Amino acid sequence: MRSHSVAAQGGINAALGNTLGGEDDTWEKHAFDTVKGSDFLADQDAVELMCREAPNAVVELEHMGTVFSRLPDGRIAQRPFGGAGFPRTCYAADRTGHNLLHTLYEQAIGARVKVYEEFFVTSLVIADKRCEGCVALDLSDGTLHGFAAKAVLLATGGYGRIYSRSTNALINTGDGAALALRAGLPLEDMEFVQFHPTTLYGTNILISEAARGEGGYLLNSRRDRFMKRYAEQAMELAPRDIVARAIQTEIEEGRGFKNEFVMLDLTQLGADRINERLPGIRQIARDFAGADLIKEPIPVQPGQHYSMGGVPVETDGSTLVRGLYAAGECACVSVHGANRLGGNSLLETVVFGRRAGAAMVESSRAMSARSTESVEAALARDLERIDRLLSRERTERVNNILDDLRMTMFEMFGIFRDEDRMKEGLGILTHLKARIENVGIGTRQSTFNQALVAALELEGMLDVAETVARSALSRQESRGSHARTDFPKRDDENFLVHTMAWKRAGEIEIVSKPVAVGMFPVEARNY
Amino acid sequence: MVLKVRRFDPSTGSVRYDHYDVKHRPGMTVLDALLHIQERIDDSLSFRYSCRGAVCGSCAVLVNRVPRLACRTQLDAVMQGTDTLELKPDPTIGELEPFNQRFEILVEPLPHFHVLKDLVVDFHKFFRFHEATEPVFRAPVGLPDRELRLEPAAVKELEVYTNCVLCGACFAACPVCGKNPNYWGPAALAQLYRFAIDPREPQDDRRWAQGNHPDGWPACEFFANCKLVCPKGVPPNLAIGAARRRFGGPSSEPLTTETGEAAKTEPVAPVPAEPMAPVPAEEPMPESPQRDAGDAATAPDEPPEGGEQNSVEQSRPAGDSKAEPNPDCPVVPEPGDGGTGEPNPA
Repeated sequence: MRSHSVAAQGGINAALGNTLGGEDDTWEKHAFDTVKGSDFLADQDAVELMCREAPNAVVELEHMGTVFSRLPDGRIAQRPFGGAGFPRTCYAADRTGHNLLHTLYEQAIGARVKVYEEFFVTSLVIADKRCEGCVALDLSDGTLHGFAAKAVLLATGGYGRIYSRSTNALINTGDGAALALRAGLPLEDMEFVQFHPTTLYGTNILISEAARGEGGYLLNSRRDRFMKRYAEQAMELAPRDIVARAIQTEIEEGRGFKNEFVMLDLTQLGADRINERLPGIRQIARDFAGADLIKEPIPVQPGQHYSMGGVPVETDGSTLVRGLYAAGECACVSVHGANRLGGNSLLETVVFGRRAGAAMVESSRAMSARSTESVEAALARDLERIDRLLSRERTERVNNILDDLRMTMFEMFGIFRDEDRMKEGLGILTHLKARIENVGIGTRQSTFNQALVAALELEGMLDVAETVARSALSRQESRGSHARTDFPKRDDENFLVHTMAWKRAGEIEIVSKPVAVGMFPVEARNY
Repeated sequence: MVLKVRRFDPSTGSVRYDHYDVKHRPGMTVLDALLHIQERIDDSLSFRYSCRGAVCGSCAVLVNRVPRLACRTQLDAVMQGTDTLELKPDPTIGELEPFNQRFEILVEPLPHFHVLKDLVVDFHKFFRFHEATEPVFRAPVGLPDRELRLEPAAVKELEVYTNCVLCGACFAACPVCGKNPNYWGPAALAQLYRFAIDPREPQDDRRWAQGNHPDGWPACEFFANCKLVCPKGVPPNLAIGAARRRFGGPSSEPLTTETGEAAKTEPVAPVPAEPMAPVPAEEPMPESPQRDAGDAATAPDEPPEGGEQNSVEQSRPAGDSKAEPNPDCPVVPEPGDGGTGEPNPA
């Protein structure tokens, strides 16, 4: 219930066709917008499946009790979002993720699902090429537990917190990706990191795309709606990669404020519309920037927002290792390709989460109980590893390394990239990896030893960062969120492929995987 | 600026208050300060957090004796007194820890919960009460292919309660939660009300009846602290008042007398509701071999590091607080629980 899904604000896409201007919406249109938004890197079979199932998924959540915002006739309301020309995004004010997450939490209570709260998974157990469980640390008392399982699902969210300036919850440290990588799985399309155009200056808390969907303007220091120079038709509602680059360009060319931010102006919407549609955003601006968006524009800058890359999965959530599944932001299906459309992440999570659950039940049914031998061996290994970490003398603090990591990722693997900077960044990452050997923990306490967890997370974050770095270096083109100033064009001949980063003998190796192109031929991407 | 933080070490049972000098910067929140302490000064300090954007409900703590989300409470506002809440006093809390409001901010764990470690409290009881309301939408039979219709006006009413983030601030602020360990509390009753008024559920009396027992609707004494401290503006007191009116009980008007003592209300006779399914007991996972994490579980805790950066006030000797109630402790412990962190199912 404390997971980052709770922070999703704007909505969930489904071609319900409820709202004026969107009556003719179809799953095919939704699929096309998603594929075009992805800069044609999404796998079209998976996109088709997601968009076909979207209306049912939203209706199912409504039937579970979610209080969506409504039209006067009582049907679910929809709002326009980036990458679609009309209202398709179903919403619950600007607290859609909160409402969906709480609905699912309630369903889990009803189903009497046993939850091991505040356990930190330290490793996956792989034996005979299948996943037989995991090892996890109980934060409440510091004991380590082995879990033997017929099926394991990773649902750990994205890796946003390897970046400074992230909208993500502090817990989004990419643990699932790191676990998978260490267990011998590749990570897919890690170079595709979404920068959200509008995060609140100062804290980088998300200011939903809904703010622009409802009619907000972006203004530079000359009070100019600069988006007309970047996306003449779509303006503020161009996809996120395009708007984020536009803002960053305005700032870098001296038309921002304090060389740090631009303004998001909602004053023209009026108090009623803001209070009805964007009450959460209004409260966030008041709490964290001391500004009332009914009366004044608010300062925004691009910030890391979403991880398109992750553990490669099939459309039933299964990975390359039998018995191991992944869903949500930690997985890469891929339906988002090089750039995710707003309103598609909640959708991906519920559609593919549901499918993964069904597949796990199905595959587990026929299985007999397995030996716990492999789990016990993994448990012993992790006990030793944690013991080593706890007894190591501290000459380096976790947070000094973490700060350097985050700065490096934002500066060298951020909104704009080039080979020189990325190579320099990779050098810094290598150096950070050496420094981690000196990390020590100041406390050996067994209860809520968050310092121990932070040190364990850091190891994984450096691994994940390296896959982002090497994947970004290998892709010598610009596509979606991956914008290289030294290769400014998309190169379909050489790079209409997924990037797979494997860790072999301690080294990251990059190979490619074909993209599943389907009903939509690859074409130029203009808005 | 100094944060005076209540520390509790479950391995020794000791309680003390530590003082941490925090270099203030504009906009800094209590959570920022706590993270700074954990990352730079004393990594043995424990507290919960996740979103840092006031939506996940993880980080509620007591700031200057008021339950608040650490992530949306700015140090400036607390120091300058521009963000104050006047709560009705809670006689169950007992002796209060003194602090100097001119330069200190007092940070303590939520009262009415067991403290597990420092600012981390045990939420089992809170969630058991929430589960006891059966917060699962009862869909009508014969669901349509499309969404159930719902008037925008009904959405507006429901939203007031679906905004709850289950942070526990209201539970901590409620004097009734302090004196009646079985009281379901404001958050659970507000969630029960949310389902009771949902026009899509079968329009029977079930939801209202579920709360109509001595530890439900009738137990509220309308201190209204719940509404005051809610970071999301949820008013459980209004929900409970509305429920009480249905049973012909007193309205939602505050019933407190001049002495701050709540007026006695006649508990409404419980209506036999459908028996609640028992909450499953905690059971060890049969497939889960368990061992101590080596020395981690047994090694004595080191003293807080960075002594040169923060002065540590030892307000009572270590190992001397097994006897409860602890006068320094803002938390009223449950009988039979000496702060060992054992879950105490409702």
